[in-house]
Amino acid sequence: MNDTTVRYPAGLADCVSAYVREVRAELVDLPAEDVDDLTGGMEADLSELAAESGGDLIGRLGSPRLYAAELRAAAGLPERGVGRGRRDGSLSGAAARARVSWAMLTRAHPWLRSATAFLVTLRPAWWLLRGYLAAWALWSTLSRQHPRHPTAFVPSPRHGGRGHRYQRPARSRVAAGKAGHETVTRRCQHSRRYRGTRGVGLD
Amino acid sequence: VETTQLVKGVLDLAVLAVVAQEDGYGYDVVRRLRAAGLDEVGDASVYGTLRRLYNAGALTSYVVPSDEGPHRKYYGINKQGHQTLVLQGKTWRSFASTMEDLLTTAEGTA
Repeated sequence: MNDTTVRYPAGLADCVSAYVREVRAELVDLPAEDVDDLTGGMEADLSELAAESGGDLIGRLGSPRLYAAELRAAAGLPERGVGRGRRDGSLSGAAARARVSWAMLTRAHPWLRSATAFLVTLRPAWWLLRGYLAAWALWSTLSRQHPRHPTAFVPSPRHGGRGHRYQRPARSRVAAGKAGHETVTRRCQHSRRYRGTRGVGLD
Repeated sequence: VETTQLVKGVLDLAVLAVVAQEDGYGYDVVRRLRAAGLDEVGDASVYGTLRRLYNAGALTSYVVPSDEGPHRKYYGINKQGHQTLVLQGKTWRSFASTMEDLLTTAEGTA
């Protein structure tokens, strides 16, 4: 994340960056100013702590989620998901909440973003399918025959139809994204055996 | 009595007392609190408390850039913080004295 952290072993810098990133993701529902206030200087402090504890950030601080919850409680900020917009029952309020939830979800699980991007690339296929179904509906009305099932027109995946080839990259990309997210989490877990969480929360 | 519960109640005062001795960054304050004997104090609780005291106008804050690593955020006490420290210190001493009397009486009759 920051190349000035090289004085610490590469693994520690990675772990610290990953930890800070995950804490920030837990605070994403707060105004950006509050998040910067709360996490400003955090990387320097955690680098020092990581160097002292042999990289055992989770052993010392607990999970990023617990850390963020303790931070909010001590700072007098609302718990995650409580507060702003809760009482807003309007449609735009619901849309805003949905956007925030989606932002939180994609920041916690970055692979979701690549999966969504991939689904968007499939949009032409959806239009093709809709056109196909419309044509089928028209044909079955005009012919006044018992309508054939729409799938009768779709090439069978078992015989190498396009549908089959479309699905494959979706699975592999999602799987690759998942693996990436797990690697970030694992970076701070390599020395988890160390000992239990130190310190207490305020909630 | 759970020490952790007691620490929660006096964390503001403890943090103010540590910062009043000398300006410090978050982890430095955590370390000094532990060195003073408050082993139970949680890192994130101290960071959150520093932030809350700053927002309440009791602390000042400044960033110290570093050539070899990410910048540090230091906190120092200001006039309002000193007043809070004196006021909360009085409350604590009065409370501690009340508890001391209570326990002495109880132990005397036991």
